[in-house]
Amino acid sequence: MSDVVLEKHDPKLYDEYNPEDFVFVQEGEKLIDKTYIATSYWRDVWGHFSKNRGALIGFVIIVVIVLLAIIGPMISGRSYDTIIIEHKNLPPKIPGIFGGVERGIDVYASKKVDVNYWFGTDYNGRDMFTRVWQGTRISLIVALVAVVIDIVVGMSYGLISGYFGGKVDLIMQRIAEILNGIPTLVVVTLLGMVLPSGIISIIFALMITGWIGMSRIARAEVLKLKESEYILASKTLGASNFSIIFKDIMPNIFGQLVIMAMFSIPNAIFTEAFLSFVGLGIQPPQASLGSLISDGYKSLTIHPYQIAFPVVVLALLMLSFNLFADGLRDAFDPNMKQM
Amino acid sequence: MSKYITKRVLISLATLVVIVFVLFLMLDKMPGSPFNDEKLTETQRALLYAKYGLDQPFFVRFFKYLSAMLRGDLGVSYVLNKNKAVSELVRGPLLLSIRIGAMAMLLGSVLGLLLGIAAALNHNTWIDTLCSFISIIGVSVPSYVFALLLAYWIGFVLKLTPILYNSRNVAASLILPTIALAMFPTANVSRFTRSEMIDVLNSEYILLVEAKGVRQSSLIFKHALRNTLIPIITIMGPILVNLLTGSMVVEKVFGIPGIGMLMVQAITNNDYNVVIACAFVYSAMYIAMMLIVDILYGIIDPRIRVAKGSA
Amino acid sequence: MLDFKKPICLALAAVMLAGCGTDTSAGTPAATADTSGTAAPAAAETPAAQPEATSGANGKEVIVAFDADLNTMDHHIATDGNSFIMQSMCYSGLTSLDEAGTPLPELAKSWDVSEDGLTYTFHLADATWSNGTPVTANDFVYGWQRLDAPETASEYAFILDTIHVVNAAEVNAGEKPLEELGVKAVDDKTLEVTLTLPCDFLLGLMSFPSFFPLNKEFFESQGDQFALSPENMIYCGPYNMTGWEQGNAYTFTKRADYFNYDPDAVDTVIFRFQQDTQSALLEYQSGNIDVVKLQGEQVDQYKSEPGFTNRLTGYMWYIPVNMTVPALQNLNLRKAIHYAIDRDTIAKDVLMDGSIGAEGEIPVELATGPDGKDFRASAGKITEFDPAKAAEFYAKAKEELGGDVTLELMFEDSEASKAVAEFVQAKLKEYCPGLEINLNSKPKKERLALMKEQKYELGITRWGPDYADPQTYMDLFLSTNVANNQGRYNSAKYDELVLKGTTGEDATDSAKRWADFVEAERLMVAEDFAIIPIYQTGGAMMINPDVSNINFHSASVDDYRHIYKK
Repeated sequence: MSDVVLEKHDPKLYDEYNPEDFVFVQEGEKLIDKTYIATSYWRDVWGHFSKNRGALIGFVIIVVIVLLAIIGPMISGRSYDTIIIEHKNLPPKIPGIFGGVERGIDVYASKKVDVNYWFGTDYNGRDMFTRVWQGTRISLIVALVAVVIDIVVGMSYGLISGYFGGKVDLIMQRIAEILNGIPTLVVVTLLGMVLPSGIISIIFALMITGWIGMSRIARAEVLKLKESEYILASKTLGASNFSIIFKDIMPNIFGQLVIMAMFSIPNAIFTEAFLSFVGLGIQPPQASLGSLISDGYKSLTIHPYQIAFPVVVLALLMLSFNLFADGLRDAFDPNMKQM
Repeated sequence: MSKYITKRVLISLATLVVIVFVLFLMLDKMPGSPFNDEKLTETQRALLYAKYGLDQPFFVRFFKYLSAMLRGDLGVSYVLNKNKAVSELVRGPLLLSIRIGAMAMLLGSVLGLLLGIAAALNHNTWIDTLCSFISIIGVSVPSYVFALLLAYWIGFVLKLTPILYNSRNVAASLILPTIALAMFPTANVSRFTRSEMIDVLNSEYILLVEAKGVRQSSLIFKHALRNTLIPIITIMGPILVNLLTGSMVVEKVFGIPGIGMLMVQAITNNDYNVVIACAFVYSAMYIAMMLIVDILYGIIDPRIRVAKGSA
Repeated sequence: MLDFKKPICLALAAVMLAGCGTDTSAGTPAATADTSGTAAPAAAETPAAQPEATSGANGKEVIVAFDADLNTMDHHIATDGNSFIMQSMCYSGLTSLDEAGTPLPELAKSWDVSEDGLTYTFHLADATWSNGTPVTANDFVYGWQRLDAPETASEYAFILDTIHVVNAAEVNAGEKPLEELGVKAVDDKTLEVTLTLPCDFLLGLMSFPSFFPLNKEFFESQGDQFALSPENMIYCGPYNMTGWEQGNAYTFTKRADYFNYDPDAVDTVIFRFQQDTQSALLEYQSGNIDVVKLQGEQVDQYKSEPGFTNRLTGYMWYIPVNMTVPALQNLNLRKAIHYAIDRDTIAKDVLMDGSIGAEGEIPVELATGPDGKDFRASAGKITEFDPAKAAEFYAKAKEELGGDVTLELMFEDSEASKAVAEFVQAKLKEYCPGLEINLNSKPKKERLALMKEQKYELGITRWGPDYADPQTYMDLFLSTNVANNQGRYNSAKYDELVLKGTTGEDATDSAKRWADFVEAERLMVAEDFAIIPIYQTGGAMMINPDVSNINFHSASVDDYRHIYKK
């Protein structure tokens, strides 16, 4: 569609069209109606998806990161919590790639360390490589949970609130506003008193606050769509409210929601870091990408590599999730199929 | 419309009262006291609670606070500038934070829109990927990291701007925090604009406009952007919330005496009245924003207005 | 169709105009002019400091970065170190401390102590308040009475009772009228303090803000606004407070009419609140801040630079073992934990901020005994790190308890505590094979609340001395001290020794009192192993090499009153 060259439309020319300006296309060709093989929905989706190069790359990176998160902590041969204080703050050293040099000094030589730390070590002399992948593992779980919560809770909430409108919308929106009005710091501190620390508490804390942004978007999209003709048609045909919401409206707004959900991933990862800092979430010496980033921040100007690795992994994850989500969106989006 | 707005405003006020109540309840359950818990003895605690009326039953305190609030009295601070009227304590930081927030929001929206449009028009090209990349960096690097990097490179190495907030030169010292805070809105708006713009560009009416031979710039800015903006207004709410939380860390890095830093300090110190005042201001801003968004919707998109009317 | 377009255009235009409006008002030179206007917090009430407007002396300015904010300038209700430091800028006490912590005359030009040590008579110097009225003995009486009055509810009221001022406790409890407090103005320039027991550290404490005077007339004229802003304050110290920007900067300007005027001290001292030490350090390197604190890795990075300064604070971090937990009632288990903690490595390699490994529960440089030696020198090193002993005692404990033990270590959510807790956990696991330690991070207020109610097993906590005497620590672990004895250490022998030294038969004999404390500390730390000291906090900082004469006191208030700058 973007092939249409607009500049050629000069209004002055319109009057000067003559019948002879037009030529029949396909004249003399044999036109046969093509019948398409009925493809299943999922096959169709896969067909669209597999043609999208970006989405495939994203998918591959995700798979690689997931694999590293599973096997990474094992291949380094070190444990994430072994403290060797003599080996603290060593810069990364991989022969041929990183020289273990910081500010022109070979730290390994000056500290007389003869083993190599691929990603360097942290303030307690723990292996960053192991910790980064160990952390990725936990962050992936958290991210997954966050997306699920966002989609299930946020989307349903927004869809229902927007679709029914009136009193339902009013009450549901007030509840969301109240939840939003309480500082997360207060909620989290109080939760810390009631809940034991662990993944369950993280999920719970995310559940309380994470989904509101998503519900706003879902609601807005529903407001936009619910008066459209095809919904009216569905209604006239006697479709139930829930079937309209989840079968007719949801697929149309899924793209926006997926993007929104992707954006909730880093948010969830940072929230988790904050939670573990105030005593909810995973407890040290365990690590997550978020907690590695906030630890690394404290020596950002001195040992920048300590924050670089977790940030790079997070950014890669984000990038690939985004490419992947874009591919998914194009594959799922019914509008796109007409193109 | 005005009837609808009046109704909404009244309901919003009621919501705010509920928020104050919930906050009151939650703060009541916070561990420790507003005082120096490390050394506080039971007798001292009792004396202090009696002095500030904290020993009264929960509901008595709540209704006293509410009625004082109606008179504009938000109580006194227990920790930060001890005994100062909270209404005075909050004013300066609030104005400063609003100023930074508004600037960041504006910068972020403009940059985000431009990036998003560029990406959508060049869908599936390297420009698109570059825009995606920028916006992804925008969300995956936490704002405090970005803030410190800015402070280091622009403030320290290049010496272009002051690093820390200085009341002798406010405008210059707000440049870096604004940029740091604008990062998240930029990323978010650009991703959203891109996706929304792609949808709009694929719709029939744009095809019609194209067929009519409208110039491309006019097509984008007059026809496509307008419809793209509608859903983008909705993410202003979440972005605003994020700006508020983001301001806490950015204010810390640059030493800005804003409301974010005040609130964090108040919460860690159990400075009840200050926490309630800050949270109240946050909620009020959020709710007002949501109200404006809903009203703007009605104005921009007549379909919604029709729906509201019938509901 | 046209009808539908117009509102959109209008709305868009409105949005953009509104946007532009914000932009111009904030980002352009127009805003530079409103520095002291509405947008600068608190600037409206206290115009930003003007360096050239000082009283003509030397025009020098020193900017000190603090990582905690000012809480109050009311010296009778203050509880935090930074508030005390700033109060000491603009108020003076009867005495001040020299570099070594020895009391020197300040508002009191001399004093007499009675034979029995129960009556102190101070003769006041000819100092004036900033409004020109003389500082009199009545100002001290009024100040002390306000400190002790129950309606002030001062958290430091106890300190009057600590130095044994007659009737201090009774007045504070509301049982006796204020007038019966043991402090009297004999005449305008003579102050008499009467005690129930002698107090070795009274003169040093007179430099502590709680004991500063208060001008009755001015105080009463201010009502509830007293000390809320510089306009509501009256000063009797070497500096006036001239700027108060909450959350940002506090400005002190030298007083020309101070009786003890120091012409060489800098004219202006600005205390700047800056939580993030990394950006503060960048500002130091840019030359805009003169004094800044260092944390963790920064210390390693800057320790060889000119201007690097290391000082000790009086804060002792320790683990009060919770004696109500059955497993921890086992002496061998407590011993194992004591021996498994490598205090020197924690101080030198984990914290690196100038902290030192604890040799006992009483910090070094806290108090000097009657023999002129530091308490630690008399008591010696009673902590020990020995992995072999740790393993041996753990094996014994395991046998006695019938199996391996899992314990929880609670700590607060600060950078330093986290690093220490992680290290302690890893090393306990390493040196006591089989011992399992789980970490539990809590916000500070919550940690304190939980530990106060014995809802913990092992916990890392700290105590800062209120005055330069071991008693400030010894009192904590009395079985009767429910507020501070978090682990419920209960030893009749310890109680007896401490009480004998503080209020009992040895209270009047400095040497015996000292010996009691040494013995009590040994009993608690190295015999019962109920308290496991870890480290004494250091304060590494960068001080502009041109700036000199800041006096740090580990058991009292740091002195920024006589800063010199080249």
